[in-house]
Amino acid sequence: MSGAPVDPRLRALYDAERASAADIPEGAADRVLEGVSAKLAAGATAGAAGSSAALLACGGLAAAAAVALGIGIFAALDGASPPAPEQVTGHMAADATVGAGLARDLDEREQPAARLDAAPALELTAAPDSPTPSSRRERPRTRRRAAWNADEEWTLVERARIALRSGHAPEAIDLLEAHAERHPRGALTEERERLAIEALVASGRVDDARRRADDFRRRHPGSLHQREIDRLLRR
Amino acid sequence: MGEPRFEDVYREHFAYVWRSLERLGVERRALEDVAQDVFVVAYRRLPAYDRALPFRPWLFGIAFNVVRERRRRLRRKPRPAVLDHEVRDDDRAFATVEAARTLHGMLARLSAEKRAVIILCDLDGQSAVDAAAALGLSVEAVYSRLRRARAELSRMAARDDDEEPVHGLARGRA
Repeated sequence: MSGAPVDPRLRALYDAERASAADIPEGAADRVLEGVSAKLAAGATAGAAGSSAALLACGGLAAAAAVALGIGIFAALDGASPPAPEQVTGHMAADATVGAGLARDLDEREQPAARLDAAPALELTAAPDSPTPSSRRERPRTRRRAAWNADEEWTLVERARIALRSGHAPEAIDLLEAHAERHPRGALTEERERLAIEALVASGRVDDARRRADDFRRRHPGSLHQREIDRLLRR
Repeated sequence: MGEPRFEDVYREHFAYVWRSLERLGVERRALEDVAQDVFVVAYRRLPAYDRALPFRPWLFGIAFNVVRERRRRLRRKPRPAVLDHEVRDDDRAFATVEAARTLHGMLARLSAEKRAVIILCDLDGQSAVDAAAALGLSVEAVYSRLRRARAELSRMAARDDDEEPVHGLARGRA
């Protein structure tokens, strides 16, 4: 790392810190993975509030109000199964970053300099081959478009979730089909498929749900949503 | 090559995320919950991962945002992570452990932004360009924060040495 020279005392502390292993309790990795799976299965409901706040903060009043209204309806209808506090925590954090896409978009227009609270770049068109760098650098315009896509994608899936929890499974299916059409390789593809399977089951189209589940298993081996899909089809 | 399996990515980088959360000052009792949040976000955004960026700074950027959101919710100043550490002194050399605890305590006294650049650039060894991309900053801003953060840490280290010369490790190498 270039820049100002590091104080030798400081460098010694750095070296010692790096030499000391992370103090990870036994079984923590498995417990965390279980928790991730549970939070993903529970969906993004609670996080919608965080996303709406992000939209409001950047002046996207209409969009935020629409989302907030939807969530309000959902919250009223879903009173029988409120999310656990720790799930609320998790999804607020998770979806605030997804929903913050529009906020970042607007911020970029107002402030040319990048901001610290901007999340890493969103690029929704292609899945990575592997987590290794390439030489391509993202341009601001692509970034804004990607941020907008992320927000629209999230809104579609959220609306479908609300429709499903409100007992309108056919409407949820329509919304999810719209998502599949507009974002065939979007970041929420696996969530969309899980919701679609749930909506098909709720509509009594169990055979269609099973076919879709088979397809899901083939396309997304090892997905964290698989357990929830299996549970849905065991009912 | 196909899309990486999330579980493989998870296994490979779990310890890094854990370590980063410790460095960011997350209390020990909350580490598992916060790590879950980090990986929930990473899971959702993995298909959107930009290969122009190295993976760990990308993951660190997520961790940094999750920790900051959490602090906003808690509406309280971070406590030094060292208070929650149950350091197993029998497993490690005392001087090393003591120095690591000292550094974590010092990091906890920095602002979140300065702490992030110190972790990414000085402890993880990432370039200023990659740190800038991960944190959404300009490269100039990274250098500026880095310079100021190092100066603050140096002052803290000097003060600690004057007050309580416990980590002879640091003094010895100076």
